[in-house]
Amino acid sequence: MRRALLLPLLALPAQLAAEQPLGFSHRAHIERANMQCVDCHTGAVSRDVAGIPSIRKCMLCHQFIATDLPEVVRLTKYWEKKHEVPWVRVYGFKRQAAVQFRHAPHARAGIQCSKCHGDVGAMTVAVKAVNHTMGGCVSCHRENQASDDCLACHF
Amino acid sequence: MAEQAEQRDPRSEQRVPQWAMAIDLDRCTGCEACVVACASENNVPTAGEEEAARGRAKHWIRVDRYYEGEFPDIRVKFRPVLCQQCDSAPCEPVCPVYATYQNAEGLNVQVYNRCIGTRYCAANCPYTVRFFNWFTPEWAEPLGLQLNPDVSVRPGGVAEKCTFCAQRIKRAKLDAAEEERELADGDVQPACVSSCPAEAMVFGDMGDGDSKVSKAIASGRSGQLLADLGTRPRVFYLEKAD
Repeated sequence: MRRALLLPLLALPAQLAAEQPLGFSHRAHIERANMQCVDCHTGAVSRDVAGIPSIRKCMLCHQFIATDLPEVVRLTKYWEKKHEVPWVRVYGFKRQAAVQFRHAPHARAGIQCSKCHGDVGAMTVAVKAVNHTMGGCVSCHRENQASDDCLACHF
Repeated sequence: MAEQAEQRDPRSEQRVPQWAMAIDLDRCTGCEACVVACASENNVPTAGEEEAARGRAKHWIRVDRYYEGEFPDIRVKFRPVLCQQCDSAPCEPVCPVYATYQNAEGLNVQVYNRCIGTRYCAANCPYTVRFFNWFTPEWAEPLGLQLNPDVSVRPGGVAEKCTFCAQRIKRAKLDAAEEERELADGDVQPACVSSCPAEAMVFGDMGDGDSKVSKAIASGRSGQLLADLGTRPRVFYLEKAD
């Protein structure tokens, strides 16, 4: 079981997969536990920022579920020390890009998470599967008749 | 007065608002609450003594003073001056990289990441409301901890100016979309307008004849700053006719 989880991880190009403090698997949560993206990234449909969940959210389940898995044991150690897990952010715009991105209107327009984030549900480690370029944003905006005014994103 | 052809949004088919502001000079007391509100809303950095002495202080809105009469019968008049969001803006055609343009809603947009810092726009602005970031901005502690996340912090080397609080316009539109209603008059309040204790400033859609700002513009007391230049500003000043 554990080997099956690790193999695709090794096959990934090293520069794409950020070094995370814990071996968190998106696939285990989405495919096996049948969770939704917004269960943890609660802001993704209703707010500007999707958000990386706090350790409280992890421990809501992991106080009781799969407590003997080695990664969950490591998670519990963070919890007992009252520390947050120092997750490494995978997506995000550079400050110089001067982009003001809001998740909520995109979710309201029916854009699937995978459109900009790839099939995270099949990933064992979150990788930057989609490169966020202005060309990508603008062409999608035009397809959907959303604004292509510079001020729609840059202010 | 700028009469624009009515534009509609291709997706929602709603009329595109034409933003404008009216400032009642007979109400303005020159308290500069707008100046403070603007700086904190828009992450406008403090310049420091040395830079300010070189004329490099940034104020997206300032309050000009005019003295009328001779002492002791002297009277001070105040005039808040911000980017006039001209329909025929002198800053736009001089930009070699198209970093500033007028959008469908009548806002003169400054695209920070497109700007290469020629400063032609600031040189050509008759209202001197455009500013250049000579350095990467810094804030005296603890002001750096209260930056508005809705507004980009402009890097060194780019020009900036009043945006009519584009982030607040955006937020109001998103809130209206969330509640599945049209944008109502008064939903958008730039920081200067919302902070004005004398309620001297009105902001709204001048394409809508029933909006407060349209009525203020049509009041017969309104005029534009340096109107004879033909810049057709979107900021209207109301004062008692002499």
